Amino acid sequence: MKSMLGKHTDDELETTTNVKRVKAADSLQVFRELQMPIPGVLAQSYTFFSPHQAASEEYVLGVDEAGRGPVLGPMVYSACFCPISAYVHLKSLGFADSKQLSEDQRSKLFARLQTEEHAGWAVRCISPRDISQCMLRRTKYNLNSLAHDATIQLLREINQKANIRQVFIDTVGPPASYQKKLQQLFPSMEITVAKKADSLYPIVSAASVCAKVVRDAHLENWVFAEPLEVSRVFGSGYPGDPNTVRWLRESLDPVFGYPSIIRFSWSTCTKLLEESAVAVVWADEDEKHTKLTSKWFGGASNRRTRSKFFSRRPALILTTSL
Amino acid sequence: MTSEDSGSNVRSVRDIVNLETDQENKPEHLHLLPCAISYDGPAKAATYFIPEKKPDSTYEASFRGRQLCGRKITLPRSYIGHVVIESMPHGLSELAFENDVSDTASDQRELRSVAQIAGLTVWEHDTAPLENDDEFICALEWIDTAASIHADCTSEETNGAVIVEE
Repeated sequence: MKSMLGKHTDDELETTTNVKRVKAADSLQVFRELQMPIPGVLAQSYTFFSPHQAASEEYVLGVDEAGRGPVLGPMVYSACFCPISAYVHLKSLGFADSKQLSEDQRSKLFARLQTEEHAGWAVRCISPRDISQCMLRRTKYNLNSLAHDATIQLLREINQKANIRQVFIDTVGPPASYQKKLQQLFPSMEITVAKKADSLYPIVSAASVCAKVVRDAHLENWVFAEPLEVSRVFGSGYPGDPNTVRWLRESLDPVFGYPSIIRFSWSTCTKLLEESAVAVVWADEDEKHTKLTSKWFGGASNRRTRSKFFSRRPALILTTSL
Repeated sequence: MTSEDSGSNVRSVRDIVNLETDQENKPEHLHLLPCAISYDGPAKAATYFIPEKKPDSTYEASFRGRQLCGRKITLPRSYIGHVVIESMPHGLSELAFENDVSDTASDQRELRSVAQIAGLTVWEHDTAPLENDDEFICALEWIDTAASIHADCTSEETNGAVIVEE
């Protein structure tokens, strides 16, 4: 039975434009059945777990991401897991580094994964709005921390559903310290953090396919939270993509900058805003900055020390011409 | 432009405020942001600035990628808020005017109302402004406080005690 299914999948991987159209719709169908918020406004980050019947066996799990670098759209962390006994079978399905696979191949592998009885997957989808807001907090929260926390959250929650033994993770930052950090948090797991894990371990490849399919689906079906009429041809979000470059140039609003699909913390974005948008100075970033209120709510005089009650309520009296 | 620069918060010359609002202009809801935007004029606020109410009655919004947390303010009783714009005093360039008001020959400022305020939200970066700590909210609170301490007391309020001035 397993070999039959495997062969069936190999046949499906032969691509034609016709199949591609059908398959892209299939991914959306999968999301609809799973009640994932695609398409839809992606304002808030979310975590999703595929419906999964856990076996009592020990599991192998892989973690990978999609959309870490680009200036727009969500960053998606995914975990894929299956019983160690079923791993040989999963490997035979043809999972490879998602960047080596065509969109169509990814879409088919993703659909195929849904039919695997014991295999499960999960995504932590971090919205571009949340990425901007986190990275621009007063106390900075950088992208690596965001990535580590997403991975830890996925591991923690899946660990409650299945007996996770072997874990393979594509590294974020230096692998050794990241592996040590995770190993301390999850002592019952054997954790391997490696560079290019998605091409070394098929379970990480499977996670990378899930992450990439989910990110692409969000971008292809992006619904702007803002009631805007802007082009949807925003490209991949990489600075080398001419569609992205053009979209960034044409969609800039001089006051607000961009809709929330854009990661405002990216240097691509901050440079463009510096060049082409009006200057904004934040009260908590510039000590010399005078609050708008101080022009008319002028503050206490420094001639004598006033009671704090008054200095905290610095209203001035104006006389009207009425 | 801060109060320290001007040396005094007692304004010796009366400022002129014209509150005759053009009837065509509807009252506006105002947002006080924790930043200075180098721009005066119309902006697509309704498109880009979308506040969401939170369960604790504060608000959340984004501006230039930063999270803003806001609190709606009620104006002091029997007061009306106005959006005012400032007219340039005669013979002053805008630059000189912007740089320092107090050193100029004329200390008089002219304000003209362009709309009434229907409501006001004060915003801070990351955390909502505190009702008892935010400078703007406290300044408005002073108006009610001042009215209370200058009001005549009833004998009930003074618990029957009567102060007789000699």
